[in-house]
Amino acid sequence: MSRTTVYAARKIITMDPTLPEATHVAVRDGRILAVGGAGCAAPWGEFDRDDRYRDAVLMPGFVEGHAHMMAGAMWNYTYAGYQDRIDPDGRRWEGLTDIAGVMAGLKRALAGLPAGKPLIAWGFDPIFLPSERLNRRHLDEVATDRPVVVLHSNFHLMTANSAALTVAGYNRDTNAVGVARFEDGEPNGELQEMAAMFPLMRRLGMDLRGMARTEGAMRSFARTAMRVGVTTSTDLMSELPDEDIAGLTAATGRDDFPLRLVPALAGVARSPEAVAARVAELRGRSTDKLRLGAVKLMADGSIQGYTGRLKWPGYVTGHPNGIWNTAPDQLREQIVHLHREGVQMHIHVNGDEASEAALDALEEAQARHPRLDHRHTLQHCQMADEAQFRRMAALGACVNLFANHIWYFGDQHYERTVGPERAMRLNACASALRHGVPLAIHSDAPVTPMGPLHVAWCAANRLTPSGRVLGEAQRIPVAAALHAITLGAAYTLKLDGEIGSVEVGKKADFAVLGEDPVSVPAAQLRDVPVLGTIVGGHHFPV
Amino acid sequence: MTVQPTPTPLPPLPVTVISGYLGAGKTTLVNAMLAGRHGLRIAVLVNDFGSIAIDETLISGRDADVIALANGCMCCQVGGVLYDAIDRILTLRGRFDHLVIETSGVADPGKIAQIAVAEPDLDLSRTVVLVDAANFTACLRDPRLEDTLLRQVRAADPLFPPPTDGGAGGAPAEWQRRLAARGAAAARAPLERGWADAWRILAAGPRWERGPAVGPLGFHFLPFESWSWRGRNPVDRDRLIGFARDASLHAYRLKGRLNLTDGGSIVLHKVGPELAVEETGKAFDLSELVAIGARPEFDPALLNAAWARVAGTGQRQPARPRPSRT
Repeated sequence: MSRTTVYAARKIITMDPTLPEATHVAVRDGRILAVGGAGCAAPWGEFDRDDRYRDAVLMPGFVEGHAHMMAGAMWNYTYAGYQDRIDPDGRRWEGLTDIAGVMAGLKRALAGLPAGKPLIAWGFDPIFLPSERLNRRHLDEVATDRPVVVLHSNFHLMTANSAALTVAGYNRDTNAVGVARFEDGEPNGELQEMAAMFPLMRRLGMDLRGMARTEGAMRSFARTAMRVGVTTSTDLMSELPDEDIAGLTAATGRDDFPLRLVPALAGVARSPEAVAARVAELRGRSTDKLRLGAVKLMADGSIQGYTGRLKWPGYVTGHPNGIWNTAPDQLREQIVHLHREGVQMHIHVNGDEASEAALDALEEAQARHPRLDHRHTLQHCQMADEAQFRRMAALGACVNLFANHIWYFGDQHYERTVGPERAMRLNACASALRHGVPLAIHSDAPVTPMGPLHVAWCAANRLTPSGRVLGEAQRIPVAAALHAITLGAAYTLKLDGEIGSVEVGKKADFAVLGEDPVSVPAAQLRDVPVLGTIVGGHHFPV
Repeated sequence: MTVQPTPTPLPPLPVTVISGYLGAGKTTLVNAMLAGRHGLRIAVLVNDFGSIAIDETLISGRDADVIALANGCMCCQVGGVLYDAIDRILTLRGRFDHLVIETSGVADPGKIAQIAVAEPDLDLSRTVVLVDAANFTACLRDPRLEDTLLRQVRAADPLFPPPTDGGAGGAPAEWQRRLAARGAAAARAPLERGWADAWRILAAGPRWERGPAVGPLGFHFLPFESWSWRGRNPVDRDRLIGFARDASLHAYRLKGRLNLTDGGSIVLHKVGPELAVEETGKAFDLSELVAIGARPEFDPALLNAAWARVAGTGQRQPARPRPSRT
């Protein structure tokens, strides 16, 4: 007979309204057997006691509703971002806060590379280093004997040294628009957009998507998640060919793999019939720690990249409106068909014209094929206004808001993308709750670092780095923010019956915290230490 | 250490980008090309096989993402990751004479064409934009689509209305008038002999000859304006290039043949953002430069002022060798 273990904790925050707090939880066969006080397991016979979490606070394992496996693969390269970042092995990479710092960091990384191997860095963001633009000459000071490439955090730009430009065949006679130049007409090393980056990437073997499909990347991703208390994460857009399913099944199936994974099939650029047929095949292949069956659709681009589709009055800078990744008519066709087939959709919509197009499509889908509890989720949905939240409520849609943007890009949005009024309601968590729209909040890692407590801190405080409060009226209580990173996110994945709260019968998935997130001031929520996770009863200390 | 013999490099693979909104006829064109009796081995990248209709007897092989044809053509399903697909085609460079990229209905073909401009192993042949004459006007009226369609048309080189929409000499249709009103007229190349002959757009000659004639583009009612210069004095190379790249002049097309103060002679051609310069190795009797753009941004007075800075005060520079692109 399976053994029962009772864990004592300083406090257990259950997210279960029947029993919001407890001190003990009993685990058997990787599931929660009982919750309550020291005697909670008594009706179930013999048990062992385990006091390792006696001084810790346990919460349901956090659920990351929107991230990408590439967040694990990026650590194959050197981190060169402005903010400190923790790698999957727990090493803290200090932020590089000026050009000299970036160059010094690259030189340190160079010392660890075999001779001739290209040096590739990621996470750089010129927005934070306004004094001077990083260029080829800076990187030539790092190395001239090999390519040096710095990928920017948005993945749309890179800066390369002279050796790298030579590899790509770029010189002053190059005509490509994305090859930026000094005033004298020579390429300055900055390559803008994929067309200009592609010749270099293919010659240096920089296959980011391919990297994300390796077992090493999966494990890095899972460890990154574990360090911030996440026990279930999406990989929100994947091609999911059969060979990848085999790899994912094997990797997640190991007891020492600390994450439940929910990949969403890329529904773009395929006919909705083909997508629905593939989903039908995938559904049957879910396992305990690998959940298949959801689809990701893409409507527009990003706001900070000026590619999000905005309604009037558009970008405050006068930038032209953004791009459709899927034509509104085609989006409607996909949504109506997949809805009819009962396929759950995660729909990427950043700008408010994009969220409107998705809502129009959902309205038609519901009119033609009424369906309860579909849980289609608008992803990012950063600019939705009150009217759009009312429509979400009426149509039964969920929303997963990109609350991390408030901290990471909030000042830019206020000053340089959508302007003050719409910045104040960006990622309007309070509106979602007010209108009864099921709410999750996310990081979109690697776009921003994964960290549910940080995302929750954003939603509760709405602070920006300049000290601005970006829409005080849209702050939500800490309890609501914690719900959004646990049960709320689980709901958008249709997993709220299995994870997201500490209740009898659910998976024994926990975030182990060093302090009580509901007792610390809301302003310190992001500083609550994560000591590790428990996934299906297996322990993963940080 | 073994010295490997350097393989003879293959010339860059010519690329034609086929774009246009949903229903414009992109797939019809692709189908016609794949089945055409042209002897070209064409690799076609499409988003989705679903609508590709190839006579089963022509198919020599098929897997999840590729259909191979007995005539040497191949059709690949991109599945949302265009760059991976292009990379795969380039690893098979020797098997193809031409790469055709069919874009999604909302893609900006100008951006996709840039792949072929930037990648040394590719060579942009042209960007073909199809318009569905019947529905285009309605689509242009949709504020969610107007800018997307105009972006497509502005990248066109040239624009292909469907074969049913009349010949080159016909009166401008409603959709053409609407485009022109938005300053987005483009050269028009009707398919007078129908879809079956459409593959011929791949077989055009070098860019200089096949570019649309400089002058009113395709049709005459203008928001378009032109500017030109002729002279016998050579001009400074760098200032000329600066002039050609100057986005504030809003010259959509630029074409010229010029003698330079460094002793070189060049043919210069610009379409949209793309600038091509060819050394001729032979001086011209007369230097000429013509520019075209849409009013009101394109202003000949501004070009005159800018050109005065290029040609007016040019000091003769000592001749210097130029690296040639090989």
